[in-house]
Amino acid sequence: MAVPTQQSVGLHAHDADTFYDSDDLSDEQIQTLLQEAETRIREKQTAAENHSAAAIRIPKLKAGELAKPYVTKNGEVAIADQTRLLDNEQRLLSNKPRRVEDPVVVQQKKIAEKKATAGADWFNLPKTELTPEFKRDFQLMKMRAALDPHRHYKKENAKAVPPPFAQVGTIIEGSTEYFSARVHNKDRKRTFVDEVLASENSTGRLKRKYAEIQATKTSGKKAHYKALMAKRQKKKW
Amino acid sequence: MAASTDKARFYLEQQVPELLDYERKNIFSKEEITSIAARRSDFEHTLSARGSHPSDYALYTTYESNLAALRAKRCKRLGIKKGASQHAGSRRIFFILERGVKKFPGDLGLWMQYLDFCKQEKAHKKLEIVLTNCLRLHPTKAEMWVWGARWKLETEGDIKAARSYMQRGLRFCQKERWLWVEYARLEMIYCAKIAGRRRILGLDAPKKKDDVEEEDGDQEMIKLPTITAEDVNPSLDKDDAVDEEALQHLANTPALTGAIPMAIFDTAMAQFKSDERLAEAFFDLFSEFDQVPCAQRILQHILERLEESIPQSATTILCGIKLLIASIDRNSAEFPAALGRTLANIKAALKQSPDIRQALVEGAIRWILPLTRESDLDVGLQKVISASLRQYLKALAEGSKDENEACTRISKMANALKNDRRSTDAKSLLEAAERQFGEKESLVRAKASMQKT
Repeated sequence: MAVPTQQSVGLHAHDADTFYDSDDLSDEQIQTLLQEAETRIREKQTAAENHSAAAIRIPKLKAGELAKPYVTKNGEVAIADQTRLLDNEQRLLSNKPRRVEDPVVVQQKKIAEKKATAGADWFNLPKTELTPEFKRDFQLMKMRAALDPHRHYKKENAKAVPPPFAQVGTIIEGSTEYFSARVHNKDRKRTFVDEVLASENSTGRLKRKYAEIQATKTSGKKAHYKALMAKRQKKKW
Repeated sequence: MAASTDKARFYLEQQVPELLDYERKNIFSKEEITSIAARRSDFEHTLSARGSHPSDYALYTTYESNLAALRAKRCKRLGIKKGASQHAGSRRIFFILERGVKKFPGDLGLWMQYLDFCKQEKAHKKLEIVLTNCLRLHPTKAEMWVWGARWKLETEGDIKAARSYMQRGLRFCQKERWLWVEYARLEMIYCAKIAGRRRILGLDAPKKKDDVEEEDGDQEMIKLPTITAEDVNPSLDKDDAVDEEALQHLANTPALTGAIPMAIFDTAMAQFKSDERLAEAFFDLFSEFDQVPCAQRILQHILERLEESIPQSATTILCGIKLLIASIDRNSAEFPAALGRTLANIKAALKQSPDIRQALVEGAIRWILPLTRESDLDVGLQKVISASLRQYLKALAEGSKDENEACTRISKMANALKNDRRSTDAKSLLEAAERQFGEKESLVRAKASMQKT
C-alpha cells in the first residue's frame, strides 16, 4: 500500500467508513501521519498564538448514575416523566381486559367450595348427609360398648356429634373370609340398628340387662324414698 | 369528616388569600380560579388519602410549577410587581416535595427532584438542609455524597465543604473504589483551579521585568503615567508587589505539590491491598490533569509504588509507558511525537514480555479507548489512534484460541469497564470489536446487557 497522501489523510474524521474500515497502517505510515499532524497543529497554534494563554481544562466530578427526578423542565414548562407515573405492575394490569366481580359473592363461593368436601387429602370425602337412619346408626356406634360383653372399647364420654364429613358404605367380604369372619345371610339387615334389633328379638339380652339395672337402681334409693314420702303424706291427710 | 379530608381541606383553606389576590389583581379570571381550586382540591385529596404514590406528588408539582410560570408571565404583562401570590408557587412546591419525601423517604427520584428544585430556585440554604436529610437516610449511596461535593464545588466554590462531603461519604462507603478516585479527583480539581489562577495572574513562571516600553500607541491617545500603590506609599515593596521568594516558597507547599492526592492514593492502596486496577484508575485520573504542574509528580509517585509492590506486572509496565504522554496536552504540537513514542513503546513491551502479553494488550486497549472518542483531535491523530485500537484487538485475537474466545474476552473487558463506571468506553469497545470480528454472540449479548442498564 502506498503511503497515504495529504488528500487521503484530509478526509473528515467522523466519516465512520474511512475512520474505522481502512486497512492497518504500517509503522512508517503512522510516523508520516503523526508528523503531518504535528505540522498542522503547529500552523494552527501560530495562527492563534495568544489565544490559549490562560485556558486550563478542568475535568468535573462524576457523580455517576443518580436517580432521575420525576419532573423535568423544558424551558418554562415542567413535564412529568410519563413512564414513571405508573407502577409497571399497574401498567401491565391496565393493558389486560378486566373482569368485574362482586368480592362478597366471590368469597362466598370460595367458602362454599371449600366446605363441600373434606379436601383432596381425604379423597374429597363428601359432607355428612344427616338422614334419620344415619343418626340412629351413629348413636348405636357410640354406644357399642353395651352390645357385646366380650368386646371392650375405649371409653367415649363425649356427646355424640356426627362428623362433618362422612359417607356410609358396605364392606364386601373377601372370598377367604367365608368361614372366619362372615355375617350370615339371615343376619344381614339394612342398617346396624336393624341388625341389633333382630338379635335382640332372638336373645332378649338388652331387655334383661335393663331390667337388672333398674332393679338395683330402684331397690332402696329414690323409689323407696318416694314410696315412704307418699306414705307419710297419706298419713297426714 | 374523615381525617384525610380534614387535612386536605386545611391545606386548601390556607390557599384562600392567594386565590383572592389573583382575583383582586385580575391575574386569573373567576372561572380560572375555580378550576385552579378544583384541581388543587383533587390533588390534595389524593395526597392525603390512602394509597398515594410518589407520582401523585410529582404530578402536583408539575401542575403548580406550570401555574407559577403562567402567573409570572401574566404578572409581567400586567406590570404587577408584588403581592401575596408572588412566591406562593415555589413555596407550595417546596411544601409538596417536603411532604413527598417524608411519606416516601426511600424514593431517591423524589429526593432528586426536591434537590434539583432547590437548585433551580437557588435556595441554597434549603438545599443544604434537604441534602443533609437525604444523606441521613441514604448514607451508603455514594453518588449522593459526590453530588453534594460537586454542588458545593461548582455553585459555591467551597472546597472545604466539598471535601467534607467526600470524607463523610468515604466513612460510610469505604468499600466503594470509585469514591476514592472521585475524592482524588476533587483534590486534583482544587490543585488545577489554583494552578489556573496562578497562570492567569502570571505567577506560575518567574516574571521578567519588561524594560522595553511600548511606544507604538495611537498618536491621538494621551498616555497616562503608570502610578501604582507603591508610588503613593513607598513603604510598600518598591520593585514589585510580588515577592518572588515567597512565591517560590508557596509553589513548594505540600498543597500545591500534590501531597493531598498522593495521600489519598496511598490510603486507598492500603485499604484495597495494592489493587492493580484501582492503581490504574488513579493513574488515568491524574493523567487527565495534564495541565496541572503537580500531576507529573503524583504520577511518578504512583509508578514508584507500583514498581515497589508489583514490579513486573502489565499495569506497572503500561503506567511506565503512559507516564511519557500523560503530562502532554492533547492539543499541543508535542503530542503527536509523544503518541508515536508511546505506541512504539507498547509494541516493544509486547515483544519483550510475551507471558503477560494479553494483560498488556488489554491495558493498552483500556488506555486508548478514551482517545478514540476525542473529536477535537487532529484528523491524522484520530486515524493513528483508531488503527492502533484495531491492531490491539487483532493482537488480542492472536493471543487467544479463536475469534470467539477473543470476543468473550472483550465482552468481559467491557463488563469490567462498566463496573469501573466507564460505560461509554465499554460501549465504544464493543462497537469497535463488532466492526473487527463481526456480530459474534458474546458481543451481542454484552451489548444487550449494556443497553438494559
